[in-house]
Amino acid sequence: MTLHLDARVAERGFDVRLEVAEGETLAILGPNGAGKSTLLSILAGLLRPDSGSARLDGKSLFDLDRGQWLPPHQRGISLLAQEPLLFPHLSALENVAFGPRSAGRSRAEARASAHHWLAAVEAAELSASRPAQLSGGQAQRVAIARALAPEPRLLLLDEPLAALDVAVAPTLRRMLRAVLSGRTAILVTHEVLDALTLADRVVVLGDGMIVEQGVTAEVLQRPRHPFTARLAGLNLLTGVRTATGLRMPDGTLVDGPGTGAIGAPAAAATRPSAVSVQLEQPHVPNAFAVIVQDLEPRGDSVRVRTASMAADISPGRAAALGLSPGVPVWFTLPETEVSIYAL
Amino acid sequence: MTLNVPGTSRESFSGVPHWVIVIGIIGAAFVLLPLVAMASRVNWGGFVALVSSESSVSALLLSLRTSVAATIFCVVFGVPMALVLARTTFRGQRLVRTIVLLPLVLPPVIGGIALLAAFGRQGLLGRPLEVLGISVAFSTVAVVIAQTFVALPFLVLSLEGALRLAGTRYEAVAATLGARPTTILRRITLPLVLPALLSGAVLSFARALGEFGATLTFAGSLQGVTRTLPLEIYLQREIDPDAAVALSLVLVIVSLVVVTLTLRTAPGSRLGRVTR
Repeated sequence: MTLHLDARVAERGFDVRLEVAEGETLAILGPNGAGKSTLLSILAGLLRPDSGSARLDGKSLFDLDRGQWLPPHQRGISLLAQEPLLFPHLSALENVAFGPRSAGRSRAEARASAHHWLAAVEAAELSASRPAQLSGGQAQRVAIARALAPEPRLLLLDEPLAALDVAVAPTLRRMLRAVLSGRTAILVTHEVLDALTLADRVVVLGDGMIVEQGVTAEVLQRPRHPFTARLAGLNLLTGVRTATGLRMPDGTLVDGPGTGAIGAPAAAATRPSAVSVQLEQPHVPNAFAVIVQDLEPRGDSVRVRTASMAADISPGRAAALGLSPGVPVWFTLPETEVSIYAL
Repeated sequence: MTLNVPGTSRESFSGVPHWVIVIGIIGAAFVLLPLVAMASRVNWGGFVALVSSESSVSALLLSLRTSVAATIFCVVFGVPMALVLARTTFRGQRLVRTIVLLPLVLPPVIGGIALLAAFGRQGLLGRPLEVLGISVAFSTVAVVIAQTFVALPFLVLSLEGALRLAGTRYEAVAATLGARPTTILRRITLPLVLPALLSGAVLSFARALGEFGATLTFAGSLQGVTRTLPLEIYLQREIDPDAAVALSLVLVIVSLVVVTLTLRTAPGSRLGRVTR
């Protein structure tokens, strides 16, 4: 393991233990206040946890039981934040050269390295610009080059695309994908797309703890935690595995194919677009009486939210049904669209 | 109603009631009137002769020399003080800040008495120094000490505010890029607060230049040694009122230049440009 972290911050209810392999990109997902930024601050050396230890490439970053703590500048860990935070009084080139300069390289070497990294992020033509002259996307490119220039052993990214226009985010996402391949990195994100395209593995944080983790695609296809299901855009029903499907705690039965031992805790996931909505009770399996909480337009469909599930239907269908918050309706999940798996 | 017509003077909504503007003008007149009155008293025929007398020139040069020295001391000690106050937390920090800023509100005479108690011949530190053959009180060094004492809070105050405003986010980034604390101070922190540092230094210089009470009490009024321009003006007022007015005008002009420079480098201007 390249990175091993085990840290607790009592005040924030933070207690996380995780590992990142050499060359692996780990995505950290989680709602606001789950401890994502705390995790990055601890690794960068900007926040001292109450207890725990961390090792990177065999070198101890901190070991608080022995009172050992490495300051940020000796860690070899770069942090890329949501905002570029380019030093306003330095040109783009000088910003990128800052890391190599601080590592003791000569002015000429640092400039050569800065030119190299600016070219690597397709920002060579910006080298003479001042940060105030750059657009958001350009500034973030320069910030990426600056984070890479010290050749960090671990790269931390804190929602690097969140502050960007939707128009420039895809290009930068593509560039980050190239940058991150083969690099050990931790990426904090709100975007499931970032996790899917940029990360090998995800860790989902909730209230300062890891609530689930695994290979990105698997975690998103078979979420165990409501937050992950919401992020993956899936309806998640949990209960106990039965011969035909799943029994929820209130006794409701969900039929569907799946895996897992009978009697063991299990979850059933469905896509909202597979759910059909009716006003009259349909006499088929997997029909649930629900009450509409709100309606949200989503491009060419309308998301109908209830306390337990969501359904995506066409705007025409929503109008025909006369849906509005408080209306009781029936949701039907086709058996073939239900995926049941052990928790 | 005034509309924004292109090419004419632009007016936009200010939200200031008319009566507030009237009171503001009266206040400005209150500051301006005495200065105009003084300028009207200047004996322009003898102006050059009055301000170029040997005692005037020596007082002016002494004032400039000591004020520059005091400003340098303010920067040397004030920058670390502001950094410690803005960037660290320790027990009794509020008390320390209050004491450091005390000379701002203290009558300068009291400052002079306190300095005598510390550095005078019989003073706490003055006595051991005297044994070593170093006499501080009533020397040019005493003038610089008195000026530094009263001017230091100006630099600390303006720099601490700018440091707090700038925050530590750029410093944190610099640290993760491998910069040591001293490198961060030199290449990030100080350049970011440079406008505030300059305006603080200019304010300190102005305060040192105008210093009177503490200087008179602690350093005395010895021509060429401790008699700075304000002391010379006070003395001349008894002997030659025309000379006092002429020298006052010189000090007004120097102060005007200083204030203009300060406004040009208003604190936070660089940060303001950056945050867009």
